[in-house]
Amino acid sequence: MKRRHFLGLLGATGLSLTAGVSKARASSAADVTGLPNVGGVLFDATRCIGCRKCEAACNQVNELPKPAKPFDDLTVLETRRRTDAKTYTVVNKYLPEAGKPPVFRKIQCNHCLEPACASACFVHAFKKTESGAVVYDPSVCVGCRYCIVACPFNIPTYEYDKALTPRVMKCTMCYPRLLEGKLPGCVEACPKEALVFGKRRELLNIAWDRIGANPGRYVEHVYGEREMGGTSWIYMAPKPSFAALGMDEHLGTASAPELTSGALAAVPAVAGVWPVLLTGLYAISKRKEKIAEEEKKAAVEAAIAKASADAEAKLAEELGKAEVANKRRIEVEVKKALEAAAKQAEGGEDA
Amino acid sequence: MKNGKRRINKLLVCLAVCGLGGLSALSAGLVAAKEQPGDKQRADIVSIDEMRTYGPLTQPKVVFLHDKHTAALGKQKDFYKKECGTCHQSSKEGTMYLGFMRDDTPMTVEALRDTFHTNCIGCHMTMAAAGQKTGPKDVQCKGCHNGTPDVTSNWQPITVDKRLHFRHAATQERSENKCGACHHVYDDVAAKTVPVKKEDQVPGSCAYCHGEATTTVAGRKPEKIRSLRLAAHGECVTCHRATAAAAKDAPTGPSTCAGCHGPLDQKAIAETSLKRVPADADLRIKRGQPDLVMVRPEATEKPVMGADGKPVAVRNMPPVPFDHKYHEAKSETCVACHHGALGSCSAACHTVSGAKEGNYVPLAQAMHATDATRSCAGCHAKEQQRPECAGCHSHMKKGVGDNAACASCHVTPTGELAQAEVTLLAKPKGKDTEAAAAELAGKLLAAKRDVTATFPAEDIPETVTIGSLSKDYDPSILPHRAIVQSMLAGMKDSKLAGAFHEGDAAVCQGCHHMSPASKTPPRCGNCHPAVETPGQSRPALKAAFHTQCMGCHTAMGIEGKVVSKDAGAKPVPKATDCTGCHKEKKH
Repeated sequence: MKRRHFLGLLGATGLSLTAGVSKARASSAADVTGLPNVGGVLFDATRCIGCRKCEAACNQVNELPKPAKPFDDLTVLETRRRTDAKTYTVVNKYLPEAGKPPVFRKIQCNHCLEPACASACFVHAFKKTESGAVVYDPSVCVGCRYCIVACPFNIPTYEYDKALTPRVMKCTMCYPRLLEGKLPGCVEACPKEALVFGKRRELLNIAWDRIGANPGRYVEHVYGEREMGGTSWIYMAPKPSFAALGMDEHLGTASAPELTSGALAAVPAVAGVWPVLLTGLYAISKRKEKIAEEEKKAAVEAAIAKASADAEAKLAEELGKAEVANKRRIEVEVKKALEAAAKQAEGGEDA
Repeated sequence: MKNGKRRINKLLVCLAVCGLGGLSALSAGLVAAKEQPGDKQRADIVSIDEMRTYGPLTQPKVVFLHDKHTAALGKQKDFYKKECGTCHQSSKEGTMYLGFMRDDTPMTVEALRDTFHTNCIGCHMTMAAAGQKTGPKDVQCKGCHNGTPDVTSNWQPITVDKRLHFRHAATQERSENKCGACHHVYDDVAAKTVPVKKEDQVPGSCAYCHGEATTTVAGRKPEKIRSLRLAAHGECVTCHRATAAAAKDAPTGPSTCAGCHGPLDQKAIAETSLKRVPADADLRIKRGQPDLVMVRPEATEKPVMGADGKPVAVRNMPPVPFDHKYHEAKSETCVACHHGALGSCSAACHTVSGAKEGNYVPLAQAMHATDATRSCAGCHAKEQQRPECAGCHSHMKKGVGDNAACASCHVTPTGELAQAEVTLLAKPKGKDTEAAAAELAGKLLAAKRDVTATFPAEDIPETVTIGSLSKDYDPSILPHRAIVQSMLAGMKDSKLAGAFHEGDAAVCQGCHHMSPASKTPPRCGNCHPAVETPGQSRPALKAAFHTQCMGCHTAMGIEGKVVSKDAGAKPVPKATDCTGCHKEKKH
């Protein structure tokens, strides 16, 4: 196969790939516009007192194992913690400004509008629901843990200690309770309404109202309004910054599917198109080889045929020549014999 | 291949240089650490980054420690010969230039750079040659151009407060021209600045003429008006040094950076001021200001003409009776309010509709802006940040809360006073109305409370039991009366609180908010639902209680502290101390 043909084919593959990408993006955007009334939770760090009631309630309503230290032990706040397979939510303590009171932040799944975990999952174990919750179906999960890698907030964890039925563990926004018309466990338990559950768009209004009504108190930004394409769990923080509460301020506003759909959309293309293409390429080259082989064979046959024909002709010629020679020799011999017989007859007459 | 080798060589050289630099920096750091243990916060940091006006800096700016240099030079034998002249040149008239080794004529970037390099390194070399301890003297840039200095600034601006002003005036008491020792004005005839001759010539604060940056006025001689920084250093430090030089052990002011701008020295100055200034001294700076005024717009605005060609009567907000003398006593400088010039705010700058002179800030905004401490509302909002006030006010709107509060300042006079006000307003503001205005203001203000008051103690419930939500915990018994009395004790000395907490129920509204002021306010549960409903911006009852109690304790800074003076009083429970307010129920 010629180089130019190969490049041409590669170009065609590229086109098919880009077509696949734009299609994937369109379908992911539709998921969000389809949820205008999506639920969410507003966390206001200026209200949080670090009492860990939310952690306790979460543990109780989700029937998670009891932790080593009880929930009323506030010394655990001295260490920076993260979510694990037995803990859907943790509250951490931060000291944004020296000499000023600490600020607390609750950490749990942010229930992205366009979840990275869902976009990374190839068995569709994660689903964004209208309630706001991003729910997980362990029955289809194959345990690849791509979701854990994909999450920009480092939330999902894995039950590594379960040998047979390990699951990905993360906050469910108490989806089962939401279906019963109840509030998420943590929201209900918060003594200060540092957590408010509601429709996300209403929560955004509440958040901005609070920022406007208290000039100078809050960072003029609602975290999660646009981060990673928007999250259902949104945050308010006191000045100076969200970064002071260990939050990544540089995640950008593009959702995970938007960022990864290009590459991920290439997966079906690669999986679907490439075998066909490569098989085709193989077949084409194979066919050419076959033709060449046949031609070669024919040529060889022709050559052989020609050679044998030539040989035959030569043989015939040689044979012909030999025959002529023999004839002539016979004729000469016959002539000689006739001449000798004639001589003998004359001599006898003489003798 | 050859190229690659060269590159590796370069890299090695680089690494070696970095390594050496690092080592030398380390050793330098060790030396510095030995020299000044724990002296990492300094008020004498001068950042030498003048080259930035010529373009981006190619080296980190030099962190120059001025006091360290003057202290080191002070130990030199010959220092007395040149003093500041060691580093600063002077004009023919003897005025010292504040730039290093140059006058104030513009320089090329190269000349400026060389001035620093030649003189700094030159002096260091000379000292090193004499075997003295000195600064960097080699050509290693990092010695001076240190991007990561190990010192931080604790520099604070110095305010010449009333006591300090009094002390300065006292030193000039015997001199003929007391005020002229410091205060000068520009004289058109002499074409230079001359000391003021009389008290009433003082233009006021230095900042009125000497702005943040040096200004140039075309046609004036000299054309330049020094920035406040240059003027203050030029005048204050020079005078302090001259006084010190005139007589041995003569009392004088500081001439080091930390002496004026260091927090510890400032504290010492304030303490000395308290000791030196007699308790009965009249600290008031008299500039012909009134004691009492009626704050109102100037009548000089262009009158609005009606269809009949006659001027239309303009209705303004009722004027504000204002105790100027009391407010003077509450602030340290005139500039605290009169930030641009002395005199009426509304005369030229903050007119009713705004004027160019006042940066188009209209009178109403100038008085009500909550983000500027020189406005009425802004300064009052700052006062509300005091712990005694912050419990309630940190959660309230700053400034004028609602239009019912307008009348707190814009008093509507009744009876005879109403007639007096009509008569006063008929005349434009001026000298002839001053007396009438002062009299009216005095009478209107007399009706104001000096001290916050509330209902008699027996009418205030002693305890309030909060138990409607009781589930995991027993009801909380709130020491209601003690809380109210403690709040009142905190504001007993505040005339501001007295004047603005109008009515006996005003202080109740700190907690019993959002409902009309009343002796019998509605229960919290009337507005706050028992159960949280999604998307509701008004907190449910549990959060309302917690936010109210904890918010106040935190803002007042009394969380976990014993407030009551009673024997055996318990500390105010911390926010996370659930059982401090309500006992856990035994199941």
